[in-house]
Amino acid sequence: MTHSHETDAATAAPVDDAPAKRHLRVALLGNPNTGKTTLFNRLCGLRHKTANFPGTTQEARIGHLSAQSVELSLIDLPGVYSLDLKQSEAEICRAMIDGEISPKGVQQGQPDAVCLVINALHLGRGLELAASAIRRGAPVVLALNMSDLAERRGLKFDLDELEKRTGCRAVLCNARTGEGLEDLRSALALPARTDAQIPSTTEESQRWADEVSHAVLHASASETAATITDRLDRVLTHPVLGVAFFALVMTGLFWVIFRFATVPMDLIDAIFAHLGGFVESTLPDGLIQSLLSEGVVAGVGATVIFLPQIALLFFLISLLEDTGYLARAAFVTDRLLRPFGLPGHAFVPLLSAHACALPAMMAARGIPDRRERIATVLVAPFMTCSARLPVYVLMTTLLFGDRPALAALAFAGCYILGALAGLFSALLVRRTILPGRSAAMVLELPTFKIPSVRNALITSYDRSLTFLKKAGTVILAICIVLWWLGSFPASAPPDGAVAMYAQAEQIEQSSVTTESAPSPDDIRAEADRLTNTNATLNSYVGRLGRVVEPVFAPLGFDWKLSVAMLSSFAAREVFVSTMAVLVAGDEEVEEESLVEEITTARRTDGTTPIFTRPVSWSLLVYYVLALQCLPTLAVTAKEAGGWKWAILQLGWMNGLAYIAALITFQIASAALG
Amino acid sequence: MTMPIRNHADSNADCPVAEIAEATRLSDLETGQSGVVCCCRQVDEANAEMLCAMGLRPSARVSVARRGQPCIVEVTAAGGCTSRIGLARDVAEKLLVQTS
Repeated sequence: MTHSHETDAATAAPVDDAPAKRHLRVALLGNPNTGKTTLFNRLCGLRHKTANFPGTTQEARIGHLSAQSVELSLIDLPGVYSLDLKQSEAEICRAMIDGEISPKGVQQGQPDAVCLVINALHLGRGLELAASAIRRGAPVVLALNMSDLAERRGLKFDLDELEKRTGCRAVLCNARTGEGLEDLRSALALPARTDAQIPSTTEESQRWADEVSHAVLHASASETAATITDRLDRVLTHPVLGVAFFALVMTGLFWVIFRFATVPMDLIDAIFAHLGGFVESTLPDGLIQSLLSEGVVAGVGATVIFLPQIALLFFLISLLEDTGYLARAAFVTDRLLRPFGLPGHAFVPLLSAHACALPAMMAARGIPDRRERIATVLVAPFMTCSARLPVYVLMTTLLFGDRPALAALAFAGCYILGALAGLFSALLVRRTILPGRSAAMVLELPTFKIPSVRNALITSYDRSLTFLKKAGTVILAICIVLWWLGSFPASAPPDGAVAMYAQAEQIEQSSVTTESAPSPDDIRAEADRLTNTNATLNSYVGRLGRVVEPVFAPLGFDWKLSVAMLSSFAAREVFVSTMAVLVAGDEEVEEESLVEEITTARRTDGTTPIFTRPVSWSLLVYYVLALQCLPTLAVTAKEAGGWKWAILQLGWMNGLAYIAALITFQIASAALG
Repeated sequence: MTMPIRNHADSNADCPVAEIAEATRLSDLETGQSGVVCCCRQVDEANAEMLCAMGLRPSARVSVARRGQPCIVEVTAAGGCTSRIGLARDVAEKLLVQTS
């Protein structure tokens, strides 16, 4: 081993002589399924941040750790089978190791070391990757991970021989238990370039990797674990049993999410309601109070409320991925998704989209083929995300309040309608603007393992943070803009309300009370409602609502619904609160009383109900299909690579929603009268 | 099944024509049947590179764990450990193996 490279003078210097703490950048490279993420999590824990590579959608986690008075920045690169593949992940790894790019916030230049994570069961494959990293001039440290699995399979490694033949430090470790990581830290703190002769071509490297593997490995694998995997696979990848098991897993996943996410969601809801109330009671009436309580608190609350579902979804997905099951799910769903022009890889993104389309579209990066990736990004928002749920709950309760079984059926129908619309849209897109044969499946099915809860918690934490940062800021900004549009121009209370306030005051002042007369509080509440409705009607949103009313009239919507539709254009969860303001005059109405208020709400003529059954059906269908989420558009533009995709998505989804709602309303009107 | 793997990975270009003539398509093997990959010349370039990097390349010892569309093949690496790869039939049809 030599320390030859000039730029690495500091690196090569003996640790004891270092005057100050040295700082080294270490790239974490490895094949997929080598336990790279577990190793990163074990080494850095929560001491990490996420940053993009400039000009790409590829993210890298950058973690920090210290070893022997050296500060290490660990850059987690995407898992790749080879640096020479023509895929974006391999290109990024290549450029990073060559020192051409770095994640934002990390100093550019060739990394001081490459920690090459190898699945100890597949030494040869790891060595081939190591060979290409060494050829690129990087000091490489070999981390033979999953030592426990190797031991159970009867494998023994001659590490001295491995170090001699590769010229690299080699450490046998187990990221799950932390075994061997102290040695790995020490090795990473003293990286050195190899002087061993590494073959220069891919073919020679393959031969070299095989030879080294044979020289280093001292026992033949026993077949126990292989047999277990084989037995499980017989069921899990079976054309019928596999799909049935998959359906069972998905049902369980959703059950857990909807059963357990409601508790923290209710808690968050209550906290933000109190916070809004606190702001209203402490600050004097006026613009600032209104901006803070209705704009900022309501906006942040509207985002944070979905956090429990997102955190739970990614926790469970990470657990499933860790067991090795997700690859099997992609394998069995490939057959189901292929007829729609999508690969099995699209299954995870489409599944995640049932919590929120934003992380789902980000998860679509795992799809190797560009056209399939864009198609998945385009149709992911059709899946029923959690923001649609309040509207589904409201509408199904309105339609089948007294028949829970039918309400549940309608609810499930919404999910199916969304999924089918997404799949058929994908087929259409793949047949027209993104044509071409689907990339054939080549998918590694990793050995089954016990999942790591620690990994799942960290993944969940990371995804939640990304969601809060990306969606939170945008939704907050939108809420403030909507607050402004809904609050301006300010209008005085209408004459009727002024008279009612005066009446309430009169009753309070006169000591005479009659049992049949309404209480002053009731009168004030009614006056508030009139004032709020009047203010909304005269605001920019109200004016826009009346302008677009003729557009929505064929769907059965009156101006109030049109306003609610407009205000929820940017974020659909705003619909229920807007309806609450318009109908009940108060955003904080309890759900049961809100349903009552909405059921009895009348149009401006005072007699026709706003929510007739045909209107409720039409509205429900519209919300299943429409794209009402500005952050989604921003993420689509980023992930698909251009605003044209976002505009296409918006036009297609809302156009389809409009036509479907129109047909629904006309049929329901004819059938139900 | 533990079998020794051949040490020398032939490149596709070296595939002897006679060997190909005797070879079977991987998709035609029965579940449990094994063979040695002799040619993946017909697989399109991107997939061929990926398969090669995953260890499914000329002279690799493979066995079929599940037949059909898609199928599962096991590739035996040094030390006797196997890795499982799910393959579309399109790809499996273009991989030629020798079963003898």
